[in-house]
Amino acid sequence: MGLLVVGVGDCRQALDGSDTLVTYALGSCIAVGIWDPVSKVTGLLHFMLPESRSEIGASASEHPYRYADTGTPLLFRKAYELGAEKRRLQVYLAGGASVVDDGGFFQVGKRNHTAIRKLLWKAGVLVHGEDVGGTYPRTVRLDASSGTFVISTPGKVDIDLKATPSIHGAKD
Amino acid sequence: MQKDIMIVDDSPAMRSFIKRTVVIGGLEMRRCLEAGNGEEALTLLRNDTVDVILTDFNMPVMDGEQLVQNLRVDERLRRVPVIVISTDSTRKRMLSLQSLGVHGYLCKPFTPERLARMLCAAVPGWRAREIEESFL
Amino acid sequence: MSEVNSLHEGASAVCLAAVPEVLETMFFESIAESPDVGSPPPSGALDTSRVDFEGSARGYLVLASPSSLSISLAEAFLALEDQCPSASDIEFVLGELANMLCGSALGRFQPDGSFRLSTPMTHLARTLAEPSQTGFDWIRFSLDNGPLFVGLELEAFE
Repeated sequence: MGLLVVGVGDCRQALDGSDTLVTYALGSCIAVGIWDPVSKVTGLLHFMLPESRSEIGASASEHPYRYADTGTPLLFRKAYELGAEKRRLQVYLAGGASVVDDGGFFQVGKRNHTAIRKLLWKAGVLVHGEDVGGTYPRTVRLDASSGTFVISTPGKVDIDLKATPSIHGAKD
Repeated sequence: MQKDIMIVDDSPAMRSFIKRTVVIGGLEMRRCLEAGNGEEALTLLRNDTVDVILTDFNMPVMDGEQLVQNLRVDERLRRVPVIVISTDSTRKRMLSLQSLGVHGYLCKPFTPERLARMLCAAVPGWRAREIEESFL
Repeated sequence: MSEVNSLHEGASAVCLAAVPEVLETMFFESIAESPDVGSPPPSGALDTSRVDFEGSARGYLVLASPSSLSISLAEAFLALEDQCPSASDIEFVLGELANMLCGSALGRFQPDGSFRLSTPMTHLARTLAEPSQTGFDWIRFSLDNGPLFVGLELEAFE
């Protein structure tokens, strides 16, 4: 039973059905968690920006997980390679907060959220639960054995999107 | 469990959006009947029935309110759940539809997830296929 | 402040709130910069859609979009990946966008009101007549895939 940390601009799959994937300090970034209840294939992506074309300098191929448009297809592709089936996947989103320092990107948290929703809509995937928006940081834990997707925020009660698969957050 | 649905909207684009939501939401659909207004819907339902009707409100020829009124006085169709989808978020509209006994009212803009949840709630036993939990 | 100015400001305010919500929720399009009030569309061919309304207030909402943005909006709404939207697809999607913007704006303007919206009138590649000479303030919304211009004319209250 391992705790696998997913860093900023990173993506990992659970190696074992008893692993937990965790990512910290989600501000304007968004965490995309996917879980197949039958195969227990589990993946977590932590992306920073909506589109890879926004990057100046380094190419998207070097850092694909930084962006929704390059990271998300890789997250799903790896899951399918490990035995996940699209029609069974449960998908959760967290993050997309408004932050003071947005690195010069206008409303980057909101744009990240819109970008991932567009990708998922076009790919034919609905979101089972999300906790997005607001102005507070989030930490996410995705458990491979149970599929619980727990969001922690300082000063607030933890939210398990699997137990209450609806939409939380500043916007609904 | 497969269900028959009817989508009533004068916008083919909107009908496409709704239909896609049903399909990718994993809600098994046997038939999807489409109509461009209330009158067309009633014609299609003359010798047929469905498990749920999603209807726009503002439509030419016969609008959503008139359609619901007609359904409510039809012994065969009065129990079919109806979800009204409209851009009108005013209190008057919501109250008038509530008095007609519509099962749900969805105000545009809405997320596809919200529509999927409302459909699961409106149609008993309509659960997403091969997924342990439904959207609710 | 004159009644006309007050109406203009009210119309702009509801548009500024309604447009991002509609675009983000069902058209999966983001605002890329702060909106610019009082910025009419440029001359040249644009795709336009107009919805008239009456009831608690009378007037119309109009939007104008360059072709590239219209295509992007249709692709997103209809979830098209490998195919281009047809002219008919684009017309219906823009009409639906105008319809939603109008309803959303009016619902904010008068939550206790009652309105009847016309069927949208959409035209592709049309040159707007004197866009800077309208009685309302156009608002330019800079989106990731191009600018969208929205205007709300509130003519009278009942």
